[in-house]
Amino acid sequence: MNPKLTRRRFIKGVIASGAAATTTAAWYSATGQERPSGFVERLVRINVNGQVRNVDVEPQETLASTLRYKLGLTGTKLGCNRGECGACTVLVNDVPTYACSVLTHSFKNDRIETVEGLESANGDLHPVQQAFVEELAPQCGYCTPGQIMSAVGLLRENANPTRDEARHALAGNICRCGSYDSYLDGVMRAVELIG
Amino acid sequence: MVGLGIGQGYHNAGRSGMDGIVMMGPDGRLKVHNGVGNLGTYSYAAVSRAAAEVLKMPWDRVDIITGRTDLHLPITSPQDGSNSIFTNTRTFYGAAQDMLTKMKEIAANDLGGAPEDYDISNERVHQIADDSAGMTFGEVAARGLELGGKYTGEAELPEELAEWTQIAADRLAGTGFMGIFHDPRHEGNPPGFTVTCCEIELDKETGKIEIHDMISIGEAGTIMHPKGMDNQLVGGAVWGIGLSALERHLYDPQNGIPASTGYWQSKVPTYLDCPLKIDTGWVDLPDPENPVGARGIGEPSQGSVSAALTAAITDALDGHIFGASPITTDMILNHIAGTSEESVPLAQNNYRG
Amino acid sequence: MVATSHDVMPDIELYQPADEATALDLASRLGNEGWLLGGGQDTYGWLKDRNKNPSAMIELTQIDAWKGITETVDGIEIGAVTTLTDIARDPLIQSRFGLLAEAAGIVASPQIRNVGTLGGNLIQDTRCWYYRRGLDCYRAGGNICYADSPEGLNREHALFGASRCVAVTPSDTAPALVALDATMVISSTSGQREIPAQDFFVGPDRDILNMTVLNEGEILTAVRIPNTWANAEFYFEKVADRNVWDFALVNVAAAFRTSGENIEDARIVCGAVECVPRRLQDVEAAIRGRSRSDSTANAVADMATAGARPLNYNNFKVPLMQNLVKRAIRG
Repeated sequence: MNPKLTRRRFIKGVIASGAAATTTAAWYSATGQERPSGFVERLVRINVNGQVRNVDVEPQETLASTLRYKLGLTGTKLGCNRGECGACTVLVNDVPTYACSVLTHSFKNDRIETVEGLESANGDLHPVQQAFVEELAPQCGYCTPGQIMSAVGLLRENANPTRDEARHALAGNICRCGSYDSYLDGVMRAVELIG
Repeated sequence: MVGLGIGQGYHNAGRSGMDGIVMMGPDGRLKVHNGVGNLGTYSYAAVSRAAAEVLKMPWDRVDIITGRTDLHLPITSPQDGSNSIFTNTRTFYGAAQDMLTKMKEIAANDLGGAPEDYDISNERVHQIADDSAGMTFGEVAARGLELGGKYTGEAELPEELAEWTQIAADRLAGTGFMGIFHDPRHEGNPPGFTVTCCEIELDKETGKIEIHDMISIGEAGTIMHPKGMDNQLVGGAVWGIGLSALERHLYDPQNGIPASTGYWQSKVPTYLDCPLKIDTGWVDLPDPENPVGARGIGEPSQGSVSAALTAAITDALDGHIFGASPITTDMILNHIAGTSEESVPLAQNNYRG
Repeated sequence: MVATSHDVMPDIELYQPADEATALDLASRLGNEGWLLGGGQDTYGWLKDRNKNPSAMIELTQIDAWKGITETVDGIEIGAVTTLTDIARDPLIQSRFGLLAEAAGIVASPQIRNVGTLGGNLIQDTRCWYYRRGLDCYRAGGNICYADSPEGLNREHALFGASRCVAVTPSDTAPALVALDATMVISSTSGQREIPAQDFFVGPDRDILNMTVLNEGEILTAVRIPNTWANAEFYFEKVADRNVWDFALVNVAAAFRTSGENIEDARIVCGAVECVPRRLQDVEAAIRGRSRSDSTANAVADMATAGARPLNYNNFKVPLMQNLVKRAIRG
């Protein structure tokens, strides 16, 4: 037998068993059960910021991972990666959602918006972004994209919120610099800018 | 139960012993070589303005060279401990003064008279008696490059420059018209002060507190940036609220592992744990030891808010002092009910006196 | 073994059944290896930490039949994968069962309520931090309870019903549904069964590994609320450390029917004091025929916590629970 061929076969075998050890296939082969059909196709089309994008998405991939590491939309920040801080907030059909704690595959038929999608075609900032700049709302800036998305979600639903309503709407976003006051000032200014 | 509290915060708010460098080329733009970081408070920009003001330059004619040591930056204090504004306005003010002196020397040398006969306006150095007799900043800088020596940092550098600044100055030497300054170490300790007053409602049945009203007033010399000042005061307030009422850092003695993993256990304050509006204000009294009258204000606000909130809780509980922080719901309820935990006090607290 | 926190999800399969039959079939075939996925807000932490290691997730939120709020002959039916936001904002629930709207509206944070489902909120696992940390406690299949020990950090743990494990129910909607006398609809390939909300949750004495009666292959598909307590006088209050995200230290959900000044009937349920929502039947009986007043409340305060066995650090839950029950009765 050709020794090269043997070696190649050996390597292939190692790779196969290595892969199997970390996938579902191992469990089915180990238990001798038939694998149910119907698991997700990895190639999906998702609508992000008005563009339909073709992406190879792993079954367990979070939306934040897809946005940041597959589509390069790094405006969506990962703070805690546990749904406890809000830095990853994006809008799904206008609804504020923690991108770190949802699966991309769940949103194949939905409209996803990230902070990158807010700017208008002529380069004008969204009124919330503009208001946050004018109010110098961010300090370190890490939570800012999430705060902006929560504020945009609020204003689409309620164009004229009170400061208290704004506070409750943004309550799922932590700011460790403690800029809550300034962000609320920003939301109230955005209301004026939108008119 | 309503409780009122007043607290005072203090932190040393300025250092000395740092260096400043400003450069100018024939284009007449001022380049501030600035090692101050940016924690989001834009201190690097605020301290650069001291140089622009000395030379009466419009802000859009100033470039801040920052962010990388290979851009040849002088040593500056780290952006910490409430000190950036005080420490580094001194150095950049000094560097710009050095450049101003050199400008007048060059003008006097070329156009006659003594340096004292010259002043600057509209990016020109000119005779006080006849402002048509003068040179633009660009022309002065070009002349400085021809003359070399101390004008370009190739000679007569200040003594006692930090080693790091010397390296930067060596690399910049001969590349432009230079102003350079070493701020000697000074005695004493410039203070940053805040005072906070707050009113809380303490619910004796749930042990929860709600902050109805809170105002923090800062004393940090001349205020360089009112919005930045406001951010420092409200940001510190959120930290103070966490320190006194919520945030805890537990260790598990059984397994030797941190128990406060995740925000749901370490309790970082949220929007709804803070007052709807935190009021701020400042004294705005110039500091005589600083060329622009400014001092820092990072830390003090956290201290005064923490103290005011603790005092307000004590007030609401008829003067009971827990001697610990944070003062959490369980502690308040146990105090009111007259119960106590059977074990040693939970070693959760940041402070236990 | 204490898990290290991981940033990424483990390699795991995902199924997205579009109809009930497929979902039930998958749940049956995958058994314990298939993790039922609602909004996922109590899923990804477990998986990222590698403290639960199923082979596949079965996402239930694509199944329209299990979503939404409908009026029935004698009440309403809520699909188990209806989001908490939808429940909190639903006009029918707000007008008729405001207790549930209030409870659903105070869970965690807005974004979590936007994707988190009613079913998920009911079935979510306990928040005992030792267990969450991946330690080998009873509930994790080991033979020790770290919380009920001389050095245990048990401020958030149980006053009642401890049996080796002292963890508590973390849900805000569960006490509301027990108070409203709801029924849980449980489906599997072998059919459907209905369980009163009160019997849906189980303590460690009965099953130390699970907090509900759900068996392998079973899915909670709907919650039915009868009109029995529709438009009653309700009281809900949750006390937690922070006003966003945090789980209740104690919560109370109560419903009252009054006639004139007097209470005809009442249901009072507390969460976070036991592994299951704790219904206070003695208190309910004692206040019948009395007014919703301070004197009634004070008279039954001790009864509310009778039998409580505090641990080292949760004594405060006794006055807290009494006070919340008193507030509920006073209205």
